[in-house]
Order: sequence, then structure tokens, then C-alpha cells
Amino acid sequence: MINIQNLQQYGYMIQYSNVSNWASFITGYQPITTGNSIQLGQLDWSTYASQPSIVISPITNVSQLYQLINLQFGYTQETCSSYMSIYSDSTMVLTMDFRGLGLPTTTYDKFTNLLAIATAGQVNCAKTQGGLCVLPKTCDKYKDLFTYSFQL
Amino acid sequence: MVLPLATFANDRINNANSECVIYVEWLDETQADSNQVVVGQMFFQSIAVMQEMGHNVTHNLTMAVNINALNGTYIGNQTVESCDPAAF
Repeated sequence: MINIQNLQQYGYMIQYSNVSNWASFITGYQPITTGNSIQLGQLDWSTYASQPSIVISPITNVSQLYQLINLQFGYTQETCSSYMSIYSDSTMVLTMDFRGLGLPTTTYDKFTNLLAIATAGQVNCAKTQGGLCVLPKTCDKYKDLFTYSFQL
Repeated sequence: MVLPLATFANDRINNANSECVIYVEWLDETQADSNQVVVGQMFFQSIAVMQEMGHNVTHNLTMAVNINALNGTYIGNQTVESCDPAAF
């Protein structure tokens, strides 16, 4: 049943479930829903209405750029966290015609240096247009690596 | 917000070899449209996003942890102490 109070007037909502096949390399991962979902027009946010959320504003009323205060890379354990800043005080854009995470040169260099440390030098990151970071074996062989995360 | 690195990872077959790709891409920041962070499709498997549009509506983005997100994805204001030794 849809909660009328959670219906917004107009806009879009994106909830994906299978862009990546995480079940193949994250032990125990099972998606709750099996299909990607994009709502246009009147929206139902009731699934998330009671959850913690972040609201961010565009840098101007007509912009699709959003302020990014800080971007860090590292890990969180049960009792402590360790992150290093790779980007600060600039902007980000959300888009559907891009697959992953695009980082400008300086930030990409910082991230790939840290990723090289985290993978003991196994990763190969191409610094060319559309360059990606590639590990030589399937993702399930790098379980320790996937304890790392971004913090925004 | 904490976003696991695996958010941007996926297996790929390249010349009959299976490899793990981290879809973090280099952008040439000398180009005007490449000097900000670009957040693409894989992000939305971890974070559900809603944007309201219309007259007299500020086009804010509302983000919450996607019901299909990986463990470790987090939105909130909890803090923990720094690890010793540090990760890097």
C-alpha cells in the first residue's frame, strides 16, 4: 500500500538492484529486489521515508552540480576508522550515462596511489580517457580489498 | 556517507581472461566538463536517490541507503575513533 503522505509531486527516483553482480564476489549478498527502478513524475519514497537520509542542494537553482565537501578513501572497522582525503571542497554531478565513478586527474592520482597500497601493487590503473583500474583475477579473490570504502 | 569500494567493482572477461575491474575512471580535468566528480549508474545500486522538480521547488537531492546496498553502506552522523595504525 502506498502512503499518500510520502508521494511527492513531480521528479524522479532511482533505485537499482543489478548494475553489478555483487552476489558473485561478496559472500552472502542477496538483493532484496531483482529489477532496476526509475520513477518519473509522482514519486513513492515510502520505502526510505523512515531511514536516515541526506538532502543536498545544487550550487545554484538552475545547476545540476552539487557541492562535495570532502571525498575520502579508507576503511571502517568495528571500533575505528582510517580514511585519507582525496578530494575536497568542489563539485559533483550525478548522471546515468556514466558507469562508475569519474575522478579528475589530481583526485584520480591520489586514489590510485592508495589503491596500489591496498592491493600490494596488484592493481593497474590506466591514466587515459576512460581509464579504469583492473585487477588480474576475479573480484572474489580480493575479499580484503572490499573492506575499503569511500567516505563522502 | 560510507560507500563500499565494491560499489564500483565488477568482474569482466577480457580476451578470455576474467579480471576484476574497479570502475573508477580518470577524467581529464583540463576539460571543462571533467573537472568535477562524476557519479554514475553503479552508485545507485548502493544509494537510492530522489529529486523533486517543479515550480517553486528547490531541486534538492534526497539520498538514502538502497535496500539492495552492500553491508557497510551507511548514511548518518556516527563517528568512530581513528585506527592505529592508520590504513595507509
